[in-house]
Amino acid sequence: MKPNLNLTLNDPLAEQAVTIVLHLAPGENQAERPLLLSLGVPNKLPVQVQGVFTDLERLIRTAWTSFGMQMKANAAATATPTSHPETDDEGGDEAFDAAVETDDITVATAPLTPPASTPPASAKPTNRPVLEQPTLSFF
Amino acid sequence: MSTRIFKYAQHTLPDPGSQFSIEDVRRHLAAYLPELAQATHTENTLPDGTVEITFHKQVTTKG
Repeated sequence: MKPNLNLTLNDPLAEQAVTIVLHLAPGENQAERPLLLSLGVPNKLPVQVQGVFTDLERLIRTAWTSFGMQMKANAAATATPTSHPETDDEGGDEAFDAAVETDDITVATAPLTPPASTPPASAKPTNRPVLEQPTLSFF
Repeated sequence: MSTRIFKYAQHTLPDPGSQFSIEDVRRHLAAYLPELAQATHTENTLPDGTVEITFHKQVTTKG
């Protein structure tokens, strides 16, 4: 039996400057003010998450992870181009409208590159009450 | 309030929520896509009541 290999985790955004934009909607209670957060790099559509101000750190982490995964997938797709007859070169539109729900966030998949061979597991609109739970989407 | 979707180029963007205006969304995108800093938008109501907001790059001519 082979020994376990060391697990190495690389941040796909480690070598890049990342821009985070915050917008707080009006509200009396600062902690509960609706927050719109975008995270990305120049000339690429950013990941966008919504929540409340008190969840800022978690929202940043969620957006960072999601955008990093997108960048990693993008790099992998570029390295090994494959043919997807059902998607065109500028595809991904249908994926923008899909959403994958997790325990506490909704991820609307809108890849920066054409989607992989498997479509999102489920489709659900992201029209959810912002104050109840953060939502995340890829632009 | 009716559901909104945002479109730019070939991309369809989900509605971040009614508490965020069209300008809020445009400003966020403009931080990453400078061509949207001066963008205009058009609104089109779809048959299902969804409001489709499309951003358009401002086209300028020299001279």
